[in-house]
Amino acid sequence: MLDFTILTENIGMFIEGFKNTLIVSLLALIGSFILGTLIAVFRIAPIKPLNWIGTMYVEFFRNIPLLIILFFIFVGLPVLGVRFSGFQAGTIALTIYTAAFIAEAIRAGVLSVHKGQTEAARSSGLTYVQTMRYIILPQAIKIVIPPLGNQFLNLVKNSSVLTIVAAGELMYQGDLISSRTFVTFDVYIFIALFYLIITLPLSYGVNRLEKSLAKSN
Amino acid sequence: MFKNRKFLMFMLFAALSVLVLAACGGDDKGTKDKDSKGGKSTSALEAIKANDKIVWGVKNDTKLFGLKNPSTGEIEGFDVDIAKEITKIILGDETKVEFKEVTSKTRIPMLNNGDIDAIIATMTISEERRKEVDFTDVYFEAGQSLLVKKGSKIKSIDDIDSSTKVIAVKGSTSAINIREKAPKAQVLEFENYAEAFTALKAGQGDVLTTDDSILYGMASEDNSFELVGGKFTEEPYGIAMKKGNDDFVKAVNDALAELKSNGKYDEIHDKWIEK
Amino acid sequence: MIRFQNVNKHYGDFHVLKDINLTIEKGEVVVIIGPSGSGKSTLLRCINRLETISDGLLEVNEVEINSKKTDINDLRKNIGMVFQHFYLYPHKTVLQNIMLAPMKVLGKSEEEAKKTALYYLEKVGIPDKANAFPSQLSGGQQQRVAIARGLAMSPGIMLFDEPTSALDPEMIGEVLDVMKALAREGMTMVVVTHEMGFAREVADRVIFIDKGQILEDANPAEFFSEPKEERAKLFLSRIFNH
Repeated sequence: MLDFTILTENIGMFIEGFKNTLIVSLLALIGSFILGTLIAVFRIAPIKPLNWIGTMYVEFFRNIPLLIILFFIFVGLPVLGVRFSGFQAGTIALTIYTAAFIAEAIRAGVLSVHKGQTEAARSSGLTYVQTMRYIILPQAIKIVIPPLGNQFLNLVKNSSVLTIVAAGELMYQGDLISSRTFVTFDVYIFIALFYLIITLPLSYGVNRLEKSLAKSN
Repeated sequence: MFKNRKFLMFMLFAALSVLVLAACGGDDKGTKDKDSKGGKSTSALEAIKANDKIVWGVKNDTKLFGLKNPSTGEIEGFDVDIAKEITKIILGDETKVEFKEVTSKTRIPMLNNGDIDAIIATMTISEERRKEVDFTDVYFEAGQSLLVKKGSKIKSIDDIDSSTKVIAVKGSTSAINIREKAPKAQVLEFENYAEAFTALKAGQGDVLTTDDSILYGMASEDNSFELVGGKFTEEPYGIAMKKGNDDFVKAVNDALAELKSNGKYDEIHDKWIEK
Repeated sequence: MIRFQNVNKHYGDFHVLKDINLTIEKGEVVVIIGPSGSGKSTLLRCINRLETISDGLLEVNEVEINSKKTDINDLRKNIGMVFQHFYLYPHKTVLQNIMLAPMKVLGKSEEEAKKTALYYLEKVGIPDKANAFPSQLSGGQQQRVAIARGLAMSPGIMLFDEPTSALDPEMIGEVLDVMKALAREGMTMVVVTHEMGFAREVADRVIFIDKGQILEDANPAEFFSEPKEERAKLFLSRIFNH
């Protein structure tokens, strides 16, 4: 059976890792939502140069591994004189990477709102921004919530990659414990449980939100 | 209410699946124990001789000891040459070897589940590890040291204080040692030596610590780095086998003694270490 | 009030509008008819720049619609539009649908906007649906809300793009009644429709358009009794023989 002494003897490291994973996830979640929305706006806005920037961003960052983005920020940027700790580099990399996916989810949601809604709003004299804010985004959000939830869950799990830059999160602490005690399997199960503590409520919250939004229509 | 109950069921299901997984893990261990018990009737050495091959776990990222040559795809180094010579003595032919690439993290699990017969991968003999594996006699005397950028204000282990970031490799004894010798230091542990050295070069830490044997390899690659402070630990490298394989351990020890007496050991040592 | 002068529009190789010349005066009710794909909806949609023109001159209230200097949002305040499929905002109540533009575009207070909204809801005959959501209304009711939404901006011009085409037959009457009342009050209206009865009864002029060209521009009595163009005759005979 599961070796619970591994958990109790190293509880401090597990808690430390859990705390760091939670903070990284939270920061990257907020950051990637803001950045992702901005990139989505770039992609949708009726301004060609912004479209190009948005498209380039999305196609670049969603098509390279997170690991490489992370490593570049951690050991590449110092060459240019910008140095981030593993924790900071990890938060930034997760934000940049996830934002590309969030931008696509939001864009898809906005495009799924019927063109007639824009026409009705614009023909009544509302500006593009007002139309987005009052008419399109409130309708798009219902469509966007489920894929957005998926991205947030992926973000939490992807944070395990940060172990390679010694960010001090769950996976890193787990690696340290398992490499010292050699009971890798049990340690990884406990790590999985700690991830579940974050992801299950998140998953549940997203489902709730989806249902309550569906009801409001 | 209904929704809450559904959520509860969901959590329960999740918890259950984890326990089932855990139980499977337990079973796994059980079968392994049975295996090793069964192994006593036909000894490990006999099994190896019957197989006519020794599978060695070696490093693939450690300069001078076990490093993959990108042009040939072969792993080369001190550990590899020693393994070949031991195989030659036991099986009569140095080509009857197979090398599997291991890391500090994977080597013991791989040994215990039978993927490899022995580990010769810059592995320090320690009491904690003795609980998991059996070691041969020492085949290399290394010692932990420090690698810094030339001109660094760190000249020895005594210069390491709470503002110092020390880079080490996950699962290495050096990571544990440095916490004992310099308890105030902030230790950052990386996946392997390549990443650790890259982090040092990027200035993500002030000093990299591990066995001097490995640090010499790094310093020879980039001469803006140097070793400082000498050895502050004894790191006797041993070859590790699965517990209870006494005859195999003895055979390897005999082979090691032979290599040392016939000069072959010094030849290999000079080829790699004392350039 | 609205003036097309040698207006052309192309969609790639497709020549949708060909050399359109048309002037609509204040208070006129103009009905545009024609076969599907003739360009009649496109013509209408050019008036508030939902479609851009390729060349020519198009003015509303002496303001050039397609000039870069024109503040199109300012111009649209004065042009209400009603669509075939209503396009009410599904996430807002009837009242919120009507109040949005007056508050956000004209800067009216909530109180004032609500008063206006209720006034026009009364006018289109469904004051009791103020707090309903669009999905709870019948098609005819939705279209009447859409008309009220347009009127709430107090526009000088109302555009109707096949306002009854998506409705069940028993609901067409209630929408046409609202439009007739509006016409009688002197609203300038441009209506794309297949409702010949409405055209005959209410329109000051009937425009017949086919393949992007205006073929007839006459008063309804004249147009329906003795159309000049062969294609107009054919079109009318098809409609009335169904």
